[in-house]
Order: sequence, then structure tokens, then C-alpha cells
Amino acid sequence: MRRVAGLVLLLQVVLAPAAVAQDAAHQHDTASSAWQWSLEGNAFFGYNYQYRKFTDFDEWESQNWLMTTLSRSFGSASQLRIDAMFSFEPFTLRDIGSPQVFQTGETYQGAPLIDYQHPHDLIMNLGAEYSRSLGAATIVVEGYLVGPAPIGPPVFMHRPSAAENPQAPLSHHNLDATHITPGVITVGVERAGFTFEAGAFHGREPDEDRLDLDTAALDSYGARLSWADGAWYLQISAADLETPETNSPYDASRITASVSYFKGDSNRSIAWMAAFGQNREVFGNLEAYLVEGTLRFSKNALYLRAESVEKDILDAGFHPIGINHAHRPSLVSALTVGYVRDVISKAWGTFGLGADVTGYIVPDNLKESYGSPASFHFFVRYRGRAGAVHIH
Amino acid sequence: MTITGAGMTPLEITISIGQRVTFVNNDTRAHDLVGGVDPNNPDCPEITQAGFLTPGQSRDTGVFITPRRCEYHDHTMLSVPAFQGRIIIR
Repeated sequence: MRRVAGLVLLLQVVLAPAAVAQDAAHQHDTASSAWQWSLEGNAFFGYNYQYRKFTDFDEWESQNWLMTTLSRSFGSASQLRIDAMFSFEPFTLRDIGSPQVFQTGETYQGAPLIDYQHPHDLIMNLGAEYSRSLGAATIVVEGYLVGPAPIGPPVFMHRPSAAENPQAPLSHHNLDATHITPGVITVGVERAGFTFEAGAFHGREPDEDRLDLDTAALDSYGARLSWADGAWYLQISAADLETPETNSPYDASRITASVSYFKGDSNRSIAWMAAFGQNREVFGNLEAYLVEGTLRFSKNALYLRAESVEKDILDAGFHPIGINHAHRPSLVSALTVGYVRDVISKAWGTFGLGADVTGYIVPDNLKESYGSPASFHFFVRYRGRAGAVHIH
Repeated sequence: MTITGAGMTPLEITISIGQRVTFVNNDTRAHDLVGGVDPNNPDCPEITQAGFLTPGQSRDTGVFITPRRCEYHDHTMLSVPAFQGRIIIR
């Protein structure tokens, strides 16, 4: 019943940008000092089939998000932006999450999630950013009740290189899992394409209640240096994380580096990203390498993702202080190839039909339990966007 | 011994010397069987041989060759009593 209600809610999400788009068609010229409102939504609905050695898993499910932004300029030097982002996955995925072989991160019923991608929180982002130009530089101050910490590449759901792929990367918790951080304050300086950001945030990952806000003390710190020029975006970043896992009392740190490229328009484009992430935990360092890309031509999009990720699967669990037995990491590799074709394109959004397949290289220490798994997705993708609506 | 989302069934079993116990994971998530109650001081390595079990998977413990009482726990559900039990060998 909850998931049916979630799908109804999702339909409203799909229709919302459509309604805004109709309003936008009647907008008039806006002054720079007026409030501007934009709305963007993305939803996958489809069939997820996980071929496994002992028991296959399948699920009808939806991954989705809706983001709205309100912004206003103050003179020529200052701008205020208010962001809110929501996901209805607490209603459109099972509580345990989306079946995904070798995926880890967060918990369900107090136990670590293994082979499931957790649902995202209802409130993914809620906060504001203020920027002011000072000569050739721009100072940016951000404050979020829930928002992205200054660590890692852009989160997968906002990356052009991953936009057509309904599946979270296996390296999500090595690279960009801090996109939903309960409490963030960041200060940044931009100049000549370079941006340096540093911030304090709450390091604990979201809890199992997907509908609440998990705000608490700003106990973790991160910094990111990035450079953007045309199609290119590079970043290196690091963070100290205070007890990031709910089932571990230990702190951790994370370092990441990534190179992204995007060139083209809505009709023809190429986007790719290569990234490295390392989680430094009390039981050892876990590294992840990712390369992904999307090639779009007319109504067609081809996407791929290749990953090699060290996972703590065999010894995952709650570890009170003092438990220090050795862990046995498992180096998992995955290759996803997918295709999406847009079948309905209107001013209020685009529907596409897509499918993908993922094959895995299974390490020796997991072969007996996993064999040679494979994952398949068949889905409808909706993407809607409406922007620059003038608020009276 | 069957593992479901509600716990182990039965939690306690009595066997004879020279026997094994088969653990079957009928849950939709993975479980990890470890001998003893303290992960820092594992006991009864025969149980740990059953080890990590994905959904649908089953595996035997080692052969128990001495009479004793072997506690075990599920490492993924360390503090949940329904996932802690014992094998009594007579």
C-alpha cells in the first residue's frame, strides 16, 4: 500500500514540472533582481532482475528525485540561491532498498546492507547558498540542513556521464555518498576557474528513518580544490568523517580525485568521468576506481560504467570498540552497458525506454557464495525541467 | 538450522560427536556465522566454517569431535538475540 501511494506521489512529481512548464510558457522578461524559480525532476520506473547463484532477485521499483531552486540577484555582485531536493524512494523502493549485487553502505534493521542500494531520504537537500563577487574572485557561503559536503565528485544522479543509468555506482560510498549530509556549512573562494571549498558537517550517514532530518553536531571536516574550464572539471578532495557508519564506532577519512568532461547539447553530447576514492578505515583502506560515460545522439543514448571496488562484505557487521579482528576485503569489478531511446519528447519532459546489463568479476573469496552474477534493468525514464519562472 | 529474517530456527540444537550441522539461509539478506559470543575471541572454529551465507545458500559446519557447548553469533546481527544460539555436542 505504501509503495502504491509512493507511485501515485511519483506521478505527481512527473506532472509537476509539466505544470510549471506551462506557466513558464507565459512568463515575461524578468529583472535580475526578481526571484527566479526552477524545477527539475528525474524518475526511473522499471524491472530490476539480479541473477544470483542461489536465489535470483527481482523487483519493480522506481529511483527518482525532484529538485527545485529559488534564486535572486542583489545588484551585480551578489546572489542568493535556495535549494530543495526530494526523493520519493522511501515509498517507491522497499525499505531494505534496491537489489544490487555487491552494493554496500548504510543499514537496515541495524545490520549492514549487503547486495542492496539503500533508498535515499525524502529530503535530500535543503539549504541556501550566498555568493558575492570581490574583484576577480567570488566568495561563496553555503548552509544546508541537509546537503552535499565539500568532498567528492558531483553525485551520480547529477552527473551527465551517469544521467541515464538507474543504478547507483558500487563506489558510491567511496566517492559521493556525502551528497546527503545532515548539516553542512561550507565557505569557498572561486577565481580564474579554480575553486577552493572547506566546510564542517555531520559525518554520520543517514539513519534508517528515511522521512526525518538527521541533523546533529558538525563533527566532520572536508575540503575540495577544483578547476573548471569549458568542458572539463577536475577535483581533489579529502574529509575526516566522525563515525560515518551507524554500525561502527570508529572514525574514517576519505580522499577522492576525479576528472569529468562534458561537451554537446541536448541533441548530441558526450560525457565521461574517471574517479578514484579511498576510504581509510580502522580495518584497512578500501579503494575504488570508476570510469563511466554517456554518448547521446539524437534520441538515443548509450551509457557504460566500469568499476573496481574493494568491499568489506565478508566481515561487515557491528564492531564495538575493542573488536579488532582482521577484515578480508573483496575486490569486485563490474561493467555496465546500457541504452536508452527517447520515445516521447514534449516541452514538459521526455520519456525514454531503456535497458542495461551488468557483468561482474568476482574475487576468489566470494566465488563460492556469488558464482557469476549478472544484473539487468528494463525501465521507463522520465526527465522534466522547467526554469526561470518569475515570481511576483 | 534455518536462518530467516526473524532469526535462527532452532536457536539451540543437540548433536552427537562426529556430526555436522547445516545452516540454510532462507532470508533475503546475507548472514555470517561465527563461533563464540565475542568476535574478538572466536571459539568453535567448526561453526565459523559455515561462515558467510548469501540468500539461498547453505553450508555445513565442520565435524564436531569433542563433547562441549558451542555458542555462535551472526556477525551481521551481532547484538540481536534471535541470531545467537548454541550447538551442544554430546
